[in-house]
Amino acid sequence: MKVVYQGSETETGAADLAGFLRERGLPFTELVIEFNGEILAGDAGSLSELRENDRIEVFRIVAGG
Amino acid sequence: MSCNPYLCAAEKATLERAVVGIAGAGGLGSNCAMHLVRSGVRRLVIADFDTVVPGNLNRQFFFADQVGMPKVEALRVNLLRIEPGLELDMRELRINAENVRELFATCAVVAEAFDTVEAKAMIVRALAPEKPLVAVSGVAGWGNSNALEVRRAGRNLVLVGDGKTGVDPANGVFPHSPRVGIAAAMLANAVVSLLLGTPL
Repeated sequence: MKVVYQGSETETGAADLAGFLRERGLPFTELVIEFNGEILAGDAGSLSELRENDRIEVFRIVAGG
Repeated sequence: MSCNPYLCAAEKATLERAVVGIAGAGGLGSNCAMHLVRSGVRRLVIADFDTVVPGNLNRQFFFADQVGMPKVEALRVNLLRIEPGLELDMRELRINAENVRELFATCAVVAEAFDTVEAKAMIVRALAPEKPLVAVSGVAGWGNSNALEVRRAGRNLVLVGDGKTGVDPANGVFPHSPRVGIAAAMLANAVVSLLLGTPL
């Protein structure tokens, strides 16, 4: 199916968001995830099922302050 | 009272009334607090569990004679030297997923000023779905000033930083005053913009 990832149409074989992140080698613990316009609050195990045209934006969290 | 004489009456009232939370009183938090107080914010909730060590003085708003003091106590002293009329709720504690919502319940906006990835992720997941939060990612190293940016995410979150340059001791990448200071000023600028309803 197609989703919109970082603003671009992207083909994925993943059934849910956790699978999508695995598919791209993205570590959930180091990301802020915006899913269909909302910041996700849950842990990796509770990530949503994917539907056609879902919008996914990820922001990397790195150390330092 | 406000130490900032360049506010109109409406700005002054808004900034004096607002309660702002700062999660962490290190390089980002201590400098952000300084900028907020100089801007006219007078009610702050600031939490940090740490004490001032010599290595903090390369970037944090503390002084050599404050080494060994709890950061929240040293910061209280320093902020009151700028503006004696502040209402400061300084908490010496470790913020976690269990206490973070209650700690900042009275705050209109919260500034995330932690150093670890785990703590940053924790507070974004806990607060961003329900409250305006400004968080920081990517402020280590030197140069690349133009890579530091401010952007919105979701309904409530604002992200500051370059999103990639983390502290990485194995590769000689550390936090230094100029870049952390720029980000702390951007953090404070975003907080004030959210309070006043002006563009980020």
